[in-house]
Amino acid sequence: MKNLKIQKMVLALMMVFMVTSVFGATKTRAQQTKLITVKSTKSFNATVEGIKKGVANAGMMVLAEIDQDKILSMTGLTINAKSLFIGNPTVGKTAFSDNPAVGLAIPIRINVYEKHGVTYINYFEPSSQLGFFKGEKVKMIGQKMDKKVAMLTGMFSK
Amino acid sequence: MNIQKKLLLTFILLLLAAVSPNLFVISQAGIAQLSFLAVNVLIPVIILISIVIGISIFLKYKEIVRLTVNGIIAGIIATVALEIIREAGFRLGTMPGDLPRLMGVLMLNRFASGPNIWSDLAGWAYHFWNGAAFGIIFSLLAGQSKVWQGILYGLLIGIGFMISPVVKSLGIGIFGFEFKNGYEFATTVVIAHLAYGSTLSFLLMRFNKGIPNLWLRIKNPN
Repeated sequence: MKNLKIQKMVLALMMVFMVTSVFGATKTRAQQTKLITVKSTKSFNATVEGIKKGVANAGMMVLAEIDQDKILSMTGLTINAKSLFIGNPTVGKTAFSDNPAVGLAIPIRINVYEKHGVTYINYFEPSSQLGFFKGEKVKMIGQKMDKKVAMLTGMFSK
Repeated sequence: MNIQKKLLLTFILLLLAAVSPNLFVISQAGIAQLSFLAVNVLIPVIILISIVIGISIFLKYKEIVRLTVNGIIAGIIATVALEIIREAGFRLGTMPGDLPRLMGVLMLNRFASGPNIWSDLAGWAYHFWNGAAFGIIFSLLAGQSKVWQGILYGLLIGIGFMISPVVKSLGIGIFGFEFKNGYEFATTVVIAHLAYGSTLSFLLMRFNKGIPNLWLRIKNPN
Protein backbone atom coordinates (compact mmCIF):
# COMPACT_ATOMS: atom_id res chain seq x y z
CA MET A 1 0.00 0.00 0.00
CA LYS A 2 2.78 2.35 1.07
CA ASN A 3 4.76 1.40 -2.06
CA LEU A 4 1.82 2.28 -4.25
CA LYS A 5 1.60 5.76 -2.65
CA ILE A 6 5.31 6.35 -3.22
CA GLN A 7 4.95 5.18 -6.83
CA LYS A 8 2.06 7.61 -7.38
CA MET A 9 4.05 10.50 -5.85
CA VAL A 10 7.08 9.73 -8.02
CA LEU A 11 4.83 9.56 -11.09
CA ALA A 12 3.20 12.90 -10.20
CA LEU A 13 6.61 14.53 -9.65
CA MET A 14 7.84 13.19 -13.00
CA MET A 15 4.79 14.60 -14.78
CA VAL A 16 5.26 18.01 -13.11
CA PHE A 17 8.92 17.95 -14.17
CA MET A 18 8.03 17.03 -17.77
CA VAL A 19 5.37 19.73 -18.07
CA THR A 20 7.60 22.45 -16.63
CA SER A 21 10.47 21.33 -18.88
CA VAL A 22 8.30 21.64 -22.00
CA PHE A 23 7.01 25.08 -21.00
CA GLY A 24 10.49 26.14 -19.92
CA ALA A 25 11.95 25.16 -23.27
CA THR A 26 9.22 26.97 -25.20
CA LYS A 27 9.77 30.09 -23.14
CA THR A 28 13.52 30.00 -23.72
CA ARG A 29 12.99 29.56 -27.45
CA ALA A 30 10.44 32.35 -27.59
CA GLN A 31 12.80 34.69 -25.81
CA GLN A 32 15.48 34.04 -28.41
CA THR A 33 13.51 35.72 -31.19
CA LYS A 34 13.87 39.46 -30.87
CA LEU A 35 11.28 41.76 -32.39
CA ILE A 36 12.56 45.17 -33.41
CA THR A 37 10.20 48.04 -34.21
CA VAL A 38 11.40 51.31 -35.70
CA LYS A 39 9.21 54.40 -35.91
CA SER A 40 9.67 56.02 -39.30
CA THR A 41 9.76 59.77 -39.73
CA LYS A 42 8.60 59.39 -43.32
CA SER A 43 5.24 58.56 -44.85
CA PHE A 44 4.22 54.98 -45.54
CA ASN A 45 4.93 55.11 -49.27
CA ALA A 46 8.20 57.01 -48.80
CA THR A 47 9.33 54.44 -46.24
CA VAL A 48 8.56 51.50 -48.54
CA GLU A 49 10.28 53.16 -51.48
CA GLY A 50 13.21 54.18 -49.28
CA ILE A 51 13.68 50.63 -48.03
CA LYS A 52 13.68 49.31 -51.59
CA LYS A 53 16.41 51.77 -52.57
CA GLY A 54 18.30 51.14 -49.33
CA VAL A 55 18.20 47.39 -49.89
CA ALA A 56 19.86 47.85 -53.29
CA ASN A 57 22.49 50.14 -51.80
CA ALA A 58 23.21 47.58 -49.07
CA GLY A 59 24.04 44.94 -51.68
CA MET A 60 20.79 43.03 -51.33
CA MET A 61 17.57 42.81 -53.28
CA VAL A 62 13.86 42.59 -52.67
CA LEU A 63 13.15 38.95 -53.51
CA ALA A 64 9.42 39.11 -52.90
CA GLU A 65 6.85 41.62 -51.83
CA ILE A 66 3.51 40.96 -50.20
CA ASP A 67 0.97 43.74 -50.53
CA GLN A 68 -0.91 42.93 -47.35
CA ASP A 69 -3.06 46.05 -47.83
CA LYS A 70 -4.17 45.07 -51.31
CA ILE A 71 -4.81 41.47 -50.32
CA LEU A 72 -6.88 42.57 -47.32
CA SER A 73 -8.80 45.06 -49.46
CA MET A 74 -10.59 41.93 -50.77
CA THR A 75 -12.01 41.46 -47.28
CA GLY A 76 -13.11 45.10 -47.07
CA LEU A 77 -10.28 46.20 -44.74
CA THR A 78 -8.43 49.42 -45.62
CA ILE A 79 -4.92 49.63 -44.19
CA ASN A 80 -1.35 50.42 -45.22
CA ALA A 81 0.87 47.37 -44.77
CA LYS A 82 3.54 45.74 -46.88
CA SER A 83 6.01 42.94 -46.28
CA LEU A 84 9.32 42.83 -48.09
CA PHE A 85 11.50 39.75 -48.27
CA ILE A 86 15.08 40.80 -48.66
CA GLY A 87 18.28 38.90 -49.24
CA ASN A 88 20.99 38.15 -51.66
CA PRO A 89 21.55 34.94 -53.61
CA THR A 90 25.25 34.70 -52.72
CA VAL A 91 24.61 34.95 -48.99
CA GLY A 92 21.65 32.61 -49.45
CA LYS A 93 23.88 30.04 -51.15
CA THR A 94 26.36 30.14 -48.27
CA ALA A 95 23.62 29.85 -45.65
CA PHE A 96 21.72 27.05 -47.41
CA SER A 97 24.97 25.15 -48.06
CA ASP A 98 25.74 25.31 -44.36
CA ASN A 99 22.24 24.29 -43.28
CA PRO A 100 19.36 23.77 -45.76
CA ALA A 101 16.82 24.25 -42.95
CA VAL A 102 17.43 28.04 -42.87
CA GLY A 103 14.67 28.68 -45.42
CA LEU A 104 12.40 29.36 -42.47
CA ALA A 105 14.37 32.52 -41.65
CA ILE A 106 15.84 33.46 -45.04
CA PRO A 107 15.06 35.73 -46.86
CA ILE A 108 14.70 38.27 -44.09
CA ARG A 109 11.20 39.66 -43.75
CA ILE A 110 10.73 43.39 -43.17
CA ASN A 111 7.27 44.66 -42.46
CA VAL A 112 6.14 48.25 -42.99
CA TYR A 113 2.80 49.34 -41.59
CA GLU A 114 0.86 52.42 -40.63
CA LYS A 115 -0.94 52.83 -37.32
CA HIS A 116 -2.80 56.00 -36.34
CA GLY A 117 -1.08 57.89 -39.15
CA VAL A 118 2.43 56.87 -38.04
CA THR A 119 4.59 54.52 -40.12
CA TYR A 120 6.50 51.73 -38.43
CA ILE A 121 9.02 49.19 -39.64
CA ASN A 122 9.33 45.94 -37.78
CA TYR A 123 11.32 42.76 -38.18
CA PHE A 124 12.72 39.87 -36.22
CA GLU A 125 16.40 40.34 -35.58
CA PRO A 126 18.01 38.01 -38.16
CA SER A 127 20.61 36.55 -35.76
CA SER A 128 17.90 35.71 -33.23
CA GLN A 129 16.02 33.72 -35.87
CA LEU A 130 19.06 32.16 -37.51
CA GLY A 131 20.26 31.27 -34.01
CA PHE A 132 17.83 28.37 -34.09
CA PHE A 133 19.86 26.69 -36.82
CA LYS A 134 23.18 24.88 -36.50
CA GLY A 135 26.12 26.06 -38.59
CA GLU A 136 28.92 28.53 -38.02
CA LYS A 137 28.38 30.31 -41.33
CA VAL A 138 24.66 30.64 -40.62
CA LYS A 139 25.43 32.34 -37.30
CA MET A 140 27.91 34.71 -38.93
CA ILE A 141 25.40 35.61 -41.62
CA GLY A 142 22.84 36.32 -38.92
CA GLN A 143 25.16 38.79 -37.21
CA LYS A 144 26.03 40.50 -40.50
CA MET A 145 22.38 40.77 -41.43
CA ASP A 146 21.60 42.30 -38.01
CA LYS A 147 23.92 45.19 -38.82
CA LYS A 148 22.71 45.60 -42.38
CA VAL A 149 19.03 45.62 -41.48
CA ALA A 150 19.62 47.89 -38.48
CA MET A 151 21.47 50.38 -40.71
CA LEU A 152 18.78 50.14 -43.35
CA THR A 153 15.86 50.72 -41.02
CA GLY A 154 17.80 53.20 -38.89
CA MET A 155 17.81 55.63 -41.81
CA PHE A 156 14.09 56.15 -41.33
CA SER A 157 14.17 57.00 -37.63
CA LYS A 158 16.30 60.10 -38.16
CA MET B 1 -31.31 10.12 -86.34
CA ASN B 2 -31.84 13.83 -85.92
CA ILE B 3 -32.98 13.45 -82.32
CA GLN B 4 -29.86 11.42 -81.50
CA LYS B 5 -27.63 14.15 -82.92
CA LYS B 6 -29.58 16.81 -81.06
CA LEU B 7 -29.33 14.84 -77.83
CA LEU B 8 -25.63 14.32 -78.29
CA LEU B 9 -25.04 18.05 -78.83
CA THR B 10 -27.24 18.88 -75.81
CA PHE B 11 -25.29 16.51 -73.55
CA ILE B 12 -21.97 17.85 -74.82
CA LEU B 13 -23.16 21.40 -74.05
CA LEU B 14 -24.36 20.34 -70.59
CA LEU B 15 -21.01 18.73 -69.83
CA LEU B 16 -18.99 21.69 -71.12
CA ALA B 17 -21.12 24.21 -69.23
CA ALA B 18 -20.65 22.25 -66.00
CA VAL B 19 -16.86 22.52 -66.20
CA SER B 20 -16.36 26.24 -65.59
CA PRO B 21 -18.10 26.66 -62.17
CA ASN B 22 -16.19 23.66 -60.86
CA LEU B 23 -12.75 25.08 -61.67
CA PHE B 24 -12.78 27.48 -58.72
CA VAL B 25 -13.91 24.63 -56.48
CA ILE B 26 -11.11 22.38 -57.77
CA SER B 27 -8.52 25.09 -57.17
CA GLN B 28 -9.78 25.76 -53.65
CA ALA B 29 -9.61 22.03 -52.94
CA GLY B 30 -5.88 22.32 -53.65
CA ILE B 31 -5.98 20.04 -56.70
CA ALA B 32 -4.69 22.58 -59.23
CA GLN B 33 -4.03 26.31 -59.47
CA LEU B 34 -6.83 28.43 -60.91
CA SER B 35 -4.30 30.22 -63.13
CA PHE B 36 -3.41 26.87 -64.70
CA LEU B 37 -7.05 25.78 -65.02
CA ALA B 38 -8.05 29.11 -66.58
CA VAL B 39 -5.58 28.74 -69.43
CA ASN B 40 -5.72 24.98 -69.93
CA VAL B 41 -9.38 24.25 -69.23
CA LEU B 42 -11.59 27.34 -69.06
CA ILE B 43 -10.55 28.95 -72.34
CA PRO B 44 -10.68 25.65 -74.31
CA VAL B 45 -14.13 24.93 -72.83
CA ILE B 46 -15.46 28.34 -73.92
CA ILE B 47 -14.04 27.74 -77.41
CA LEU B 48 -15.64 24.28 -77.51
CA ILE B 49 -19.04 25.68 -76.48
CA SER B 50 -18.76 28.22 -79.30
CA ILE B 51 -17.88 25.40 -81.72
CA VAL B 52 -20.89 23.32 -80.60
CA ILE B 53 -23.14 26.37 -81.08
CA GLY B 54 -21.57 26.81 -84.52
CA ILE B 55 -22.23 23.16 -85.40
CA SER B 56 -25.85 23.53 -84.21
CA ILE B 57 -26.28 26.60 -86.43
CA PHE B 58 -24.76 24.69 -89.37
CA LEU B 59 -27.08 21.71 -88.80
CA LYS B 60 -30.02 24.11 -88.40
CA TYR B 61 -30.83 22.86 -84.89
CA LYS B 62 -32.46 26.18 -84.05
CA GLU B 63 -33.85 24.89 -80.75
CA ILE B 64 -30.40 24.06 -79.34
CA VAL B 65 -28.99 27.38 -80.53
CA ARG B 66 -31.91 29.25 -79.00
CA LEU B 67 -31.73 27.40 -75.69
CA THR B 68 -27.96 27.87 -75.38
CA VAL B 69 -27.80 31.52 -76.40
CA ASN B 70 -30.85 32.36 -74.26
CA GLY B 71 -29.24 30.53 -71.35
CA ILE B 72 -26.08 32.61 -71.72
CA ILE B 73 -27.98 35.91 -71.92
CA ALA B 74 -30.38 35.08 -69.08
CA GLY B 75 -27.50 33.72 -66.98
CA ILE B 76 -25.53 36.94 -67.33
CA ILE B 77 -28.53 39.12 -66.47
CA ALA B 78 -29.40 36.86 -63.52
CA THR B 79 -25.81 37.23 -62.27
CA VAL B 80 -26.39 40.99 -62.09
CA ALA B 81 -29.32 40.28 -59.74
CA LEU B 82 -27.09 37.98 -57.67
CA GLU B 83 -24.33 40.59 -57.64
CA ILE B 84 -26.60 43.31 -56.25
CA ILE B 85 -27.27 41.15 -53.19
CA ARG B 86 -23.68 39.84 -52.89
CA GLU B 87 -22.03 43.25 -53.24
CA ALA B 88 -24.46 44.81 -50.76
CA GLY B 89 -23.80 41.91 -48.39
CA PHE B 90 -20.05 42.36 -48.76
CA ARG B 91 -20.27 46.07 -47.99
CA LEU B 92 -22.50 45.40 -45.00
CA GLY B 93 -20.01 42.82 -43.73
CA THR B 94 -22.13 39.72 -44.19
CA MET B 95 -19.64 38.18 -46.63
CA PRO B 96 -16.05 37.36 -45.63
CA GLY B 97 -14.52 38.58 -48.88
CA ASP B 98 -14.98 39.92 -52.38
CA LEU B 99 -15.17 36.65 -54.31
CA PRO B 100 -14.83 37.94 -57.91
CA ARG B 101 -11.69 39.86 -56.86
CA LEU B 102 -10.32 36.75 -55.18
CA MET B 103 -11.02 34.72 -58.32
CA GLY B 104 -9.19 37.38 -60.35
CA VAL B 105 -5.98 37.32 -58.30
CA LEU B 106 -6.01 33.53 -58.33
CA MET B 107 -6.59 33.43 -62.09
CA LEU B 108 -3.68 35.76 -62.77
CA ASN B 109 -1.58 34.17 -60.03
CA ARG B 110 -0.96 37.48 -58.27
CA PHE B 111 -2.29 36.86 -54.80
CA ALA B 112 0.82 38.31 -53.10
CA SER B 113 0.53 41.54 -55.10
CA GLY B 114 -3.21 41.83 -54.56
CA PRO B 115 -5.86 42.83 -57.09
CA ASN B 116 -5.40 45.28 -59.95
CA ILE B 117 -7.63 46.31 -62.84
CA TRP B 118 -6.71 43.24 -64.94
CA SER B 119 -7.27 40.75 -62.15
CA ASP B 120 -10.58 42.46 -61.35
CA LEU B 121 -11.61 42.19 -65.01
CA ALA B 122 -10.57 38.53 -65.13
CA GLY B 123 -12.41 37.77 -61.88
CA TRP B 124 -15.61 39.51 -62.95
CA ALA B 125 -15.49 37.89 -66.40
CA TYR B 126 -15.10 34.46 -64.81
CA HIS B 127 -17.88 35.17 -62.32
CA PHE B 128 -20.28 36.26 -65.07
CA TRP B 129 -19.27 33.34 -67.27
CA ASN B 130 -20.15 31.00 -64.40
CA GLY B 131 -23.57 32.66 -64.29
CA ALA B 132 -23.88 32.12 -68.06
CA ALA B 133 -22.77 28.48 -67.72
CA PHE B 134 -25.41 27.80 -65.07
CA GLY B 135 -27.85 29.58 -67.39
CA ILE B 136 -26.97 27.22 -70.28
CA ILE B 137 -27.53 24.17 -68.06
CA PHE B 138 -30.88 25.42 -66.78
CA SER B 139 -32.07 26.51 -70.21
CA LEU B 140 -31.17 23.19 -71.86
CA LEU B 141 -32.82 21.20 -69.08
CA ALA B 142 -35.92 23.28 -68.37
CA GLY B 143 -36.68 24.87 -71.73
CA GLN B 144 -39.54 27.30 -71.10
CA SER B 145 -39.08 27.24 -67.35
CA LYS B 146 -41.34 27.96 -64.44
CA VAL B 147 -40.31 30.40 -61.72
CA TRP B 148 -40.38 27.77 -58.95
CA GLN B 149 -37.91 25.69 -60.97
CA GLY B 150 -35.51 28.60 -61.09
CA ILE B 151 -35.88 29.24 -57.37
CA LEU B 152 -35.10 25.59 -56.64
CA TYR B 153 -32.17 25.67 -59.08
CA GLY B 154 -30.73 28.82 -57.47
CA LEU B 155 -31.14 27.31 -54.02
CA LEU B 156 -29.31 24.15 -55.07
CA ILE B 157 -26.40 26.19 -56.52
CA GLY B 158 -26.22 28.22 -53.29
CA ILE B 159 -26.22 25.10 -51.11
CA GLY B 160 -23.64 23.47 -53.37
CA PHE B 161 -21.43 26.54 -52.96
CA MET B 162 -21.83 26.58 -49.18
CA ILE B 163 -20.69 22.97 -48.78
CA SER B 164 -17.88 23.19 -51.35
CA PRO B 165 -14.15 23.44 -50.58
CA VAL B 166 -14.43 27.19 -51.30
CA VAL B 167 -16.00 27.98 -47.92
CA LYS B 168 -13.48 25.74 -46.17
CA SER B 169 -10.58 27.58 -47.77
CA LEU B 170 -12.15 30.91 -46.78
CA GLY B 171 -11.89 29.67 -43.20
CA ILE B 172 -15.59 30.04 -42.43
CA GLY B 173 -16.64 26.36 -42.38
CA ILE B 174 -19.56 24.77 -44.23
CA PHE B 175 -22.56 27.10 -44.57
CA GLY B 176 -20.32 29.81 -43.11
CA PHE B 177 -21.24 28.75 -39.59
CA GLU B 178 -17.85 29.91 -38.28
CA PHE B 179 -18.24 33.42 -39.72
CA LYS B 180 -19.60 36.12 -37.39
CA ASN B 181 -22.82 34.88 -35.76
CA GLY B 182 -23.06 31.92 -38.11
CA TYR B 183 -26.11 32.99 -40.13
CA GLU B 184 -25.06 36.13 -42.03
CA PHE B 185 -23.11 34.38 -44.77
CA ALA B 186 -25.71 31.66 -45.40
CA THR B 187 -28.52 34.23 -45.46
CA THR B 188 -26.73 36.42 -48.02
CA VAL B 189 -25.76 33.46 -50.21
CA VAL B 190 -29.28 32.01 -50.16
CA ILE B 191 -30.95 35.35 -50.97
CA ALA B 192 -28.40 36.09 -53.72
CA HIS B 193 -28.92 32.68 -55.34
CA LEU B 194 -32.69 32.95 -55.02
CA ALA B 195 -32.41 36.26 -56.86
CA TYR B 196 -30.28 34.54 -59.50
CA GLY B 197 -32.63 31.58 -59.90
CA SER B 198 -35.84 33.58 -60.01
CA THR B 199 -34.42 36.11 -62.50
CA LEU B 200 -33.06 33.29 -64.66
CA SER B 201 -36.36 31.41 -64.79
CA PHE B 202 -38.39 34.61 -65.23
CA LEU B 203 -36.33 35.50 -68.31
CA LEU B 204 -36.24 31.98 -69.76
CA MET B 205 -40.00 31.69 -69.32
CA ARG B 206 -40.18 34.41 -71.98
CA PHE B 207 -37.05 33.73 -74.06
CA ASN B 208 -37.72 29.99 -74.45
CA LYS B 209 -41.43 30.29 -75.18
CA GLY B 210 -42.81 27.09 -76.73
CA ILE B 211 -39.76 24.91 -76.00
CA PRO B 212 -40.55 22.12 -73.52
CA ASN B 213 -38.10 20.65 -71.02
CA LEU B 214 -35.46 18.09 -72.03
CA TRP B 215 -37.52 15.10 -70.90
CA LEU B 216 -40.47 16.11 -73.10
CA ARG B 217 -38.15 16.90 -75.99
CA ILE B 218 -36.76 13.36 -75.80
CA LYS B 219 -40.24 11.80 -75.48
CA ASN B 220 -41.76 13.84 -78.30
CA PRO B 221 -38.96 14.66 -80.72
CA ASN B 222 -41.23 16.45 -83.16
